[in-house]
Amino acid sequence: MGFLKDHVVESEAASEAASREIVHRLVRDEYQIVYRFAYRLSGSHADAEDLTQQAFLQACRKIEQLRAGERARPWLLTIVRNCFLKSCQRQKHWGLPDKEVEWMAEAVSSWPEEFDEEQLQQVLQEMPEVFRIPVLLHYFEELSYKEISHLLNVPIGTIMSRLARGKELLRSRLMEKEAVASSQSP
Amino acid sequence: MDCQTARHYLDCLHDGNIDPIDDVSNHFPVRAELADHLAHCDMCQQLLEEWGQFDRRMYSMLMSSPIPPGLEDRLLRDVDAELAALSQISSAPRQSGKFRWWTASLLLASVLLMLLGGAWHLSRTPDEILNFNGAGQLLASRFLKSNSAWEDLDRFDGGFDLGSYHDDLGLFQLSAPHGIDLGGGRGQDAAVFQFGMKGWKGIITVLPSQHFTGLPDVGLPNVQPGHSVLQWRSSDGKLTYLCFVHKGSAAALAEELFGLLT
Repeated sequence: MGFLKDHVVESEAASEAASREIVHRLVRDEYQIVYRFAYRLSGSHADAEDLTQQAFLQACRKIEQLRAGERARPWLLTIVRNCFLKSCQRQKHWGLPDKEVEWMAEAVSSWPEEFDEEQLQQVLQEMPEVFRIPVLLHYFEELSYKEISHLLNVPIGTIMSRLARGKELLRSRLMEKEAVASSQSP
Repeated sequence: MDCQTARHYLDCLHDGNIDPIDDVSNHFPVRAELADHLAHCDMCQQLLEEWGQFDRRMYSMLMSSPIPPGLEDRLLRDVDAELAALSQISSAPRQSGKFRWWTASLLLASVLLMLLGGAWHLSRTPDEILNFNGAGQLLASRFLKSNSAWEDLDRFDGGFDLGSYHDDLGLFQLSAPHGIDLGGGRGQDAAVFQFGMKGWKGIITVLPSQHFTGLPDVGLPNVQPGHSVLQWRSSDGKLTYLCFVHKGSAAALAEELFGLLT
């Protein structure tokens, strides 16, 4: 059985090397977008780095799922989103928040033009998660409504509505920030 | 189709993502009506273009937030450590199953075993005796940091006897136990508690000693100055504790628990 044992050991080594190569490639290809998604979700660079680390460590543990043909990016971003929601214990808020009404955007006819990075992050952090997460998934992954609906386990009509309203909110809140900034400038 | 209805569907159109229209409209010929409306309504067409511009601006800004220097190298180091720990804690082959020769080898082994007439007896997967240091590395990679992925864990399934942990950990305020599979082939190999005690907080993992080799000495806490990990065995030796201190000094905790200056 020595022959078999040698080959088993070789196969383990080859499998480990292959796993390492897959995970390294995954890190190199995806770490920037994973980090940026985590940062936009959490609003904190330290939390974003921890969430990014957690996502790739889980990738190490579940490498077989990736080998089985899972698309890497949605898979990683789902880990980040779940870790974020769990770490904040906010899952119970996934339903529509009471203050959603406060966030109902007035239809605006103009468009924000001068908003900057800081204003954008402020607006995102102020948005309820029911809007923020679909919006971020939409921009970061360019997912279809059907895919977002599947990921969040929310009916597609609800996703369409939340995404449309979320983007309208972004637009109106950025307009407000712009107006405040321009009124304060000399 | 009026402008209000058209704008309801514009969001689906402006990034070329038309499928949802079909999903929500079913037998209603929305697509053709929307195209017809856009062909005749300058205002809706302009709105579509403006949303497109806004989307491109948003995408560009979201994708341009700065990345911390050295992050890629840190992540590569982290995943290497994780893979090494995963490899070390179990000598059992993982579910590679992708190599034909490996499959063939298994088949050959199975045939030989069957010929020996003992296949039914030997086909049970033996439980692995794990290496404590490897398990420690894996646990540290998960629980050394204060924002460790506690919530990812399942509740402890009672797969091994927690014995006298109440006596040993009586000074701690403990959460309900969760469980973690370290690859021993039995399901959960360790129970995991969140703990609090005076000024200390952290994670305590409880391992059944009989499933591990290379364990620390009975009753003697092992903590290096400046490190945040304590490990010791229960008074009867049946359990091994690995404690990750997130708040407070691990050395001071050892002193509090065991009256030892470490």
